[in-house]
Amino acid sequence: MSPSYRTPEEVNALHERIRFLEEALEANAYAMDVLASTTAIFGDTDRNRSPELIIQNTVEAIRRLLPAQDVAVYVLDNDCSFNLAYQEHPGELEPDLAETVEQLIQDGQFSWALHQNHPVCLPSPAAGDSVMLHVISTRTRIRGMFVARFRQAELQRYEMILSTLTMVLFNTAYALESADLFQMMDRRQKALQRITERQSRELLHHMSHDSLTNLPNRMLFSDRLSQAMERHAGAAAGHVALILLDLDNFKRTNDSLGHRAGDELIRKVAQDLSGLLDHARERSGRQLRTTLSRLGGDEFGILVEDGEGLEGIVRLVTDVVRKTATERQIFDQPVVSSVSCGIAVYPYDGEDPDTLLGNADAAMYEAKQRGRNGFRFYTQDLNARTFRHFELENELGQAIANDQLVLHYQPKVELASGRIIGAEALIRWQHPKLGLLPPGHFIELAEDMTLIEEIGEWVLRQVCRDLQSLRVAEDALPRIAINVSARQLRQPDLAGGFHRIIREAGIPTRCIELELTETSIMDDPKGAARVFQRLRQAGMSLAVDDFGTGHASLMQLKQLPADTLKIDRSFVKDLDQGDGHAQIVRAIVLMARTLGLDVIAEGVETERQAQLLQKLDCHTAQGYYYSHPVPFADFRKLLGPAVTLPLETA
Amino acid sequence: MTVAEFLEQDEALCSFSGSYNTIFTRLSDPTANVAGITEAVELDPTIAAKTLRMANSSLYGFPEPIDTLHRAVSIIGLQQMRQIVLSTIVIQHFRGLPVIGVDMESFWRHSIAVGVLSRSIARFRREANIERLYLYGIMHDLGRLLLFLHLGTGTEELINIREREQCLLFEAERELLGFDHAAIGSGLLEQWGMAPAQVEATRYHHAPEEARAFPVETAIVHVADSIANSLRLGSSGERFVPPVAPETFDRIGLEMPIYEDIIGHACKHLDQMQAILLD
Repeated sequence: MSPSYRTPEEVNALHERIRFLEEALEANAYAMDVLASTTAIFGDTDRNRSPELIIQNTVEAIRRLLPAQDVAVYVLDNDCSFNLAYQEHPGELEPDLAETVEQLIQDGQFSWALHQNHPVCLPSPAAGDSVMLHVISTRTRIRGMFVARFRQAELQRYEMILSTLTMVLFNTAYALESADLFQMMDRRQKALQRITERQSRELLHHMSHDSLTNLPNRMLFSDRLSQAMERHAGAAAGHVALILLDLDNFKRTNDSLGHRAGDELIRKVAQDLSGLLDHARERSGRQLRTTLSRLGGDEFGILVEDGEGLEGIVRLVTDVVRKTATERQIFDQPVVSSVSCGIAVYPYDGEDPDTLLGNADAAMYEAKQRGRNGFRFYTQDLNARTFRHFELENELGQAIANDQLVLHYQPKVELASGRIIGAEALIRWQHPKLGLLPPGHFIELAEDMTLIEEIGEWVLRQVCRDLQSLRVAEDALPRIAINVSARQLRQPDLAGGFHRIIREAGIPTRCIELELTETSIMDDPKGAARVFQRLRQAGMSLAVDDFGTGHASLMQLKQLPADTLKIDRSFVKDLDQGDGHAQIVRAIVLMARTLGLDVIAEGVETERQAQLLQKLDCHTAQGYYYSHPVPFADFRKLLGPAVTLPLETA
Repeated sequence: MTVAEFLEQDEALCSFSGSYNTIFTRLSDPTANVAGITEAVELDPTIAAKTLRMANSSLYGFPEPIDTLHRAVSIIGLQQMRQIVLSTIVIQHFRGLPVIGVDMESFWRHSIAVGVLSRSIARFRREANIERLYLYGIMHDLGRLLLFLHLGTGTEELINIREREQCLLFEAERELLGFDHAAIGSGLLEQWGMAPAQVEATRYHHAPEEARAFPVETAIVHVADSIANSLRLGSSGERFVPPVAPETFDRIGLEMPIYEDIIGHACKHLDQMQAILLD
């Protein structure tokens, strides 16, 4: 066995070699570690599919391998130009890496490096530094460039990990590619989905809609009808009304003006109807649900769901009949067309859609038989009720124009002297068929129809006209009381409006007294007080009607700027029957006096009542004992010769 | 006779002499850095000049002239430079040997063609170190040189078998010796301590289906060899084109039309490479 001797140089070289191998081993282990973690940059799940994230993960992986001074990543965009997508230390080192790369691009070394599938090290402008370029590419496509700057002296250390770098960047390129493909696929898929959705929507629309009017057709209508009936099955309140609507004499239009004109008419009617229904829905505060459909030919269907009840439906049909019966210009030809409607209501007129449709059809046929331009309910009972209602409403609307409203006057009398000091004006409707109707028959209806404002104005104007016709000195004019309803109180400028009318007529305002029932005042005491205040300022006097039947407190009464309390007829009626009522009347009178108010009793029918009232310190009254309400001509006579001068003799 | 016995016969054939040996040793040292490699190559002016011309050739297409070896090493890469220098040394070393039975010029033209084609295939596969395949290609038929040297005038017998049987030369080799040039070449490379991938690619370049550890490298050399033979880009003694094992195309994984580009790319640089290496 011979001992082997080594020179110190050889020993040094061996030491050097061992150090290198250890370093290489460590670097290799490290590289394996990094490679194992590169799944993060695969770009194969939704989460890591964005290019930014892929680049970030790439740089993180490479950073663990490569202790470079600065690194940057360039990415090829769709226009084939390289864009700086990432730089670790932008602008910190001199010269900036991005600037160095610009220079390399100009020199052509950058594009040369693109075709080398390994890291290439080029000298940097900074002494002792190198710039390493590594293309990021798949087998078929260049996607970008990785750039790093480092000390030249360290070049050898990087040699060991350069193939790892290549693998990581190869991965990156594929991740970018698959991200791209996924994005493209996503876009295509979305586009395809949009197209499919649109087409199926269109198809569905075609199948379920009428091509002329673009309204739902019979198929969709039946479906909506079934759905509506299901929704209301078992529901306690609400109805589903099915209205079938047919143009009267449509065939004649078609025959005389041609089919195109007929189509045009259908289209216009459809437009009007849907406008009408939109309006009705809005007015109902979306309570009403409606579906308009063209069922075929000149037949339309309207489906109405109303949570409230039949009232809304009746109002709607009334509107439909009234407003569709109008003249339309069809190709410059005036065409008048009215409609007939048949109505069937679930659950009364059928439990299934077919029955309901059949019954609505029968009702429509009947409407046609009865002279067209109207509607019929299938259920006769509903017909009777709603028809009367509808007729009355219709007629009331025209009553003012047709001069059918009249005023009757009931005198107010000073008990001691029997002298007439004024009257209460009471409205009557001279109905052409039903005769003279008292307000109880139509005022509520008028309030529903919002005709009450118009009627209230008419009353005031009529009173002014009557007073004018008396032709007496101003201070001899009687004071006339007018009833004001609770609804009128809510009119925004009631006081102003009234004052204007009175002034224009040249009547002193003190001649007009407004009567409000205690109950309607108590509905909105603050509002009433406000209106009273303004009426009072305008010079009119105010009376609280039916006093004793409401619930006014003394405090409220005190705050109300009223002039007179009218003791309700119920207290007066029983005044001679016993002691109890007398006590009440006495109390009322006493209270009124205390508050500085006048008192008048209404409903006086006997002499005894008049005597008792006087004893109880009430000095004015009205009632049958003195006079029924009478037409103005009779009232004028009652006022006596003093005020009837010229007319009677003329 | 076995391959091992064959290789033992002439030790001188299997090792480099003088400066080539020094350069070879230094290149094989993994601790060598840029400066070390540069110094080694500069030991032989011919190798240094050829290396520099290679670096400036159209094959590398660097936009500016590379004027120093140091620069060439850092630009082309340490590993890559090792393989380029090594292939240059091998060509220089074996060109000087007296070989009978084969046209040395044609043999090296074939080898360089296979090298450039292999490199081209690797390039289109976007492999990281394509110079590796260049080296494999250049050295794949080295065994045949040893064989011819050993047989001397006996080479005639081998040619006779080929003519008589109308077979491929490597099949004649097997008939005569019981093993072929691929076995000899891979044995030599193993002795030199070359990379296992190169040993296997050389060993099975006529039987790529047997390559277990490095099937892709083997397939590349196999396909490049057949292309070079069919295009008659020099010859290492084959008269017929060795058939291509179809599955090798699958292993390489490139579409057939791309081979046109590969061949085009290789042929563009081939003349220049041959001029540099063989003048």
